[in-house]
Amino acid sequence: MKKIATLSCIVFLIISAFSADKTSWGLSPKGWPAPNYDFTKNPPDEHKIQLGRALFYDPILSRNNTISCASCHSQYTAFAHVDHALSHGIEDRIGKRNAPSLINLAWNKSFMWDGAINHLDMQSLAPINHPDEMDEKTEHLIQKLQNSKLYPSLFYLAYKDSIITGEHMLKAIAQFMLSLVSCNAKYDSVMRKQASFSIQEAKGYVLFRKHCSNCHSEPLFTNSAIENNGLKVDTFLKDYGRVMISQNPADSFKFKVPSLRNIEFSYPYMHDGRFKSLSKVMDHYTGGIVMNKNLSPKLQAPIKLNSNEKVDIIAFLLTLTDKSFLFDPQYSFPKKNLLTPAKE
Amino acid sequence: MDFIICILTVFKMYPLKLFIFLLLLCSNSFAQVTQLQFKAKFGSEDLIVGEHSFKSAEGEEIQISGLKFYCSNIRFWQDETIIWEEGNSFHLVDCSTLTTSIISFGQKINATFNRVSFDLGIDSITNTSGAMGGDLDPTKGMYWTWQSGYINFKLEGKHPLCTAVSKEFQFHLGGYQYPYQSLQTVNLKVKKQNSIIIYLNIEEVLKHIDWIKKSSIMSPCAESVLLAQKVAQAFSTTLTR
Repeated sequence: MKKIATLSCIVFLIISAFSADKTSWGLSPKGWPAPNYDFTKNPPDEHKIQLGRALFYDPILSRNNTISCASCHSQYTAFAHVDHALSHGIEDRIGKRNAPSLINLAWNKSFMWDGAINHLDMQSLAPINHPDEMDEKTEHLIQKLQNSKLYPSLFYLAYKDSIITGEHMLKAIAQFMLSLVSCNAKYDSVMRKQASFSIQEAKGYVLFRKHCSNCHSEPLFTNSAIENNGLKVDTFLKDYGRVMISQNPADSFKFKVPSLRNIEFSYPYMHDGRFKSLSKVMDHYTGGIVMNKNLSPKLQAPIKLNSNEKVDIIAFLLTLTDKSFLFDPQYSFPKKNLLTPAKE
Repeated sequence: MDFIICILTVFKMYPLKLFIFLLLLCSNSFAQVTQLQFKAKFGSEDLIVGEHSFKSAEGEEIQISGLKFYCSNIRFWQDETIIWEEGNSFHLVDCSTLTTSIISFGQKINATFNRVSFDLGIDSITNTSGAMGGDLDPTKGMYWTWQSGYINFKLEGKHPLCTAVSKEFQFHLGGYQYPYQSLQTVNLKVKKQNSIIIYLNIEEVLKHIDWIKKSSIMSPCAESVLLAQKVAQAFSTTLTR
């Protein structure tokens, strides 16, 4: 009897050690604030992450089964749409905004450039249903998944229930997105005292902290605020940002402050992808700001930087690239689920 | 005939036992559970969702193609004291298929009560708590996808004064954030009984619509809050007219 007790104790310890390893992304990296996402309502689980990963990469989410989330959120570009200013939907439809990178989403307080979505679980409803994106109906998507050969079994593995519901689908996609944690850039190594900045990067870091970190605050490189950063209104897109959600004139032309992690790969920049390079972004903040009554108070005083200083800041920004994240096989196309004969 | 004779014989043999048995049988069938019955009306007529045309007092021909709303936070009161409240109280009432929608509480509320209250819509905490199942599943057609938030009340149909070319109107009332919170609390005086009938008079709701100004509402706004207040007032426990 005693032997059995000892044995089960050991087994329990092994299991809990493994599960702790699997769910470690649910915890904050050292020095980071606590995540905003409530993991107790959607506890991390390997089967759910894998289900969410399959859904993320599967074009079944779009009305005509042609595009997936990954079509505009590619891993190699920090889950952004490199080289595309505006999002692309089915049948070459073009949206109004730039597809943002998907990283460290558990720390976000709101989603979309205008903060229209209040919870990560609900985020995927927007691109699935938007006519210029996937143009699908959630109810119809659930039917397609239920009738597929693959998904009832994946949902059963994840939820012990092969009847697919909106709640389970959304929470599974959220689990995969929550797993996209980028915290191993050179910057992080330097902060952990495992590496050091070059002289130029170090100079750039000092300038960055002086001029940029008010909004792009460490360690997430965003303060999650919605701000007006003095861009000129695009007269063709006529996108006024947050005000279209809040209807409060004080929110006119306000957009969310994005994280700068992996910014090297998430070009073009701004909510409408108007700047193709980081030097264009530098030029905007040092001479392109259009004064207006909603301009962020943090940008009221002009930022003055000479060309060397701009290059130094860019050199620092490149230390935010996290190669281990960009090439991590656990985030890549799930061949096992999407290329097996069960899919046919 | 044989059956009755048999019963009479048994009754003669075991009068008391059979009497108790019958009493139990009867009391069992009467000991119903407490429930709310929602009945949608157009004036004095039952509201039929679909092709059926209703005539307003002004003679307008009106069709209703959809009526759904959330009823949440149900409470039973005796004067100012809550005597019973439902836990996890979220119900999607869909009048599109049945003229009467029943919310049953699975138990009989024994204490006396003289008032029932419920919220028309979903509270702000639930609105910001992520994906949920059952009646709150966002695939129920009562959740906005372009902006987070439940649609508290949805009324769709055709009205000759509607400014849309098709004359089709949509009133999707929702919004949980300041200043456009459209959630309304409905308070109704009731007599204590197991089955409480609550009427929703859609003709009363339509009276308050300024068709020229706003023939459809599909996002949180001031008009949405105003109309939600009028919908809340259109619930009653007695039929008027």
